[in-house]
Amino acid sequence: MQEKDREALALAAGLAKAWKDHRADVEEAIASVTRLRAGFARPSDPAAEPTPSYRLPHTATEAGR
Amino acid sequence: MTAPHTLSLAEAAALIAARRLSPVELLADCLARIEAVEPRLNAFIRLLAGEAMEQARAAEAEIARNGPRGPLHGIPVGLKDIIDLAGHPTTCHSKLQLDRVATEDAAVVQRLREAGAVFPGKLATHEFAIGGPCFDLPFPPARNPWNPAHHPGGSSSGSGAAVAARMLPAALGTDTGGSVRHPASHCGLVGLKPTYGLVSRRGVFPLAFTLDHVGPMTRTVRDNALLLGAMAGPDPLDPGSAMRGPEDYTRDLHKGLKGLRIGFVRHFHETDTPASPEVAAALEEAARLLAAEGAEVRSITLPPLADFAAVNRIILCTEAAAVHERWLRERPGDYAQLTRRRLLPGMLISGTDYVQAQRRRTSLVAAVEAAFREVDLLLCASSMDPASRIDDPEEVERTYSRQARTPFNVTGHPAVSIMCGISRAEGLPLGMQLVAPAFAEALLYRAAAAYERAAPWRQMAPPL
Repeated sequence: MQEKDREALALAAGLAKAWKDHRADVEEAIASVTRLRAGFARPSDPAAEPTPSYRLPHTATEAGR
Repeated sequence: MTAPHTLSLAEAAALIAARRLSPVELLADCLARIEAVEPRLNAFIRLLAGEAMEQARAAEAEIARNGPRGPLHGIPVGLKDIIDLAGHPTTCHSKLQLDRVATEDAAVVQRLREAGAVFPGKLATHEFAIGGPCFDLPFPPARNPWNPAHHPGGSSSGSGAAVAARMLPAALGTDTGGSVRHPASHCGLVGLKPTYGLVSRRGVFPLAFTLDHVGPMTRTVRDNALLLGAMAGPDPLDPGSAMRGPEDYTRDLHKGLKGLRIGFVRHFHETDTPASPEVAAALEEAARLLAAEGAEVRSITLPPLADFAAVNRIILCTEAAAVHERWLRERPGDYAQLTRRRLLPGMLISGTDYVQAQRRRTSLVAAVEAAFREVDLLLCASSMDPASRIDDPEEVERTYSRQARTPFNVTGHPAVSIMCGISRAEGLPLGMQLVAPAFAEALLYRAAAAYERAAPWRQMAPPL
């Protein structure tokens, strides 16, 4: 990734100040995310649910009774 | 009589119940110990000696009239400084939070206050419970009582240092990627990450909502069980509360290991993240001792440690970035450099990656659940190395992530770290983990207590 791309990524994430004052830390964060993204096996089942699954809060389910 | 500051929580509680020790005497001796050793350890961010003495006097008077409310009555308990104590700042060890005074007690503090506990101070942490030991913060990092040149683990670093150094009999920590069990391992303590939702998180500064746990840190298994009994319970105001009542977690401590099947997750430390020879040897010796005490110990396979670690990191960083977003954008220079470097990745992880990590989490939980259909408990490494020197940032960075604690933040199962050896080179404690099915804390304590009785480590103390 070119420096201008890394800068664009940082600015898109709202990290203009960090890019200006702590560029090495942002660069390291970009590299770290690339490693983490590749660090685990993606589920192959399209219907695999995340944990925790979405549930209505207790109060909402109680109100519907 | 034995110096009160050296007593375990259970020993002190028994003496208080027998009117042979008053909470005032106990606290006064703990405060004297704090005065003597704190300058070398930096465990405290804020010492609340006067207020704690008022609490101890009130406890003394009530116990004289009516007897103790329970085993926590008059017992000093330290609080990691991300846990709210009404009327005092919760600094999170950060410049960004120096002036944030808590208006209410955290739910877990409310419970302990009702049980009669005394609160002598707020304890050091890694900034916002993430990162590592830093020297560019308003407070110095806590140090390891076994050797102050080394770190005590973290992020509940002050809790670990204070309890190991006999400044306090017990403290609370929090655990999102291992932060109760890490200092417990390096300080020779018992540190429990309870089942997710068993202890309320309300009033605790969040790091990552779906991974955060509050846990007890003590010098003995019985103390840990007693403290958890006062901490656990339903909280309708914590959306993650499991809404389960507390139990008597000491009820099975005497039962021993006979008949229990323990799955030893050897691949975590043998091939996934190879442990130092001393740690590997200590784990094998612990397995041998557990078997000698009557457990059936067999090897068991879980998904690779790297999968758990990456999933934990993506979820933790993303949820933490949601908490810290405004500060990371507007005041990035007000964090310690290490904290900033730990938090920034969360601003750059895509929504897709976060959901993929949560979907992988489902299968990781299922894999651990499947293991518990074959065995009653798991045994595995905690840290793969002894604590490094605190002034060696490269070694701190290298060793902090070499651990097997994050799997059980991802899955939510209860896990306890207990001392299982001592490194010959540095004289520092080594730790191991036992892990149980959800809400089986009593079973976990049963096995940990049996190991504690059989092993020699309980008798050891830091050479302060």
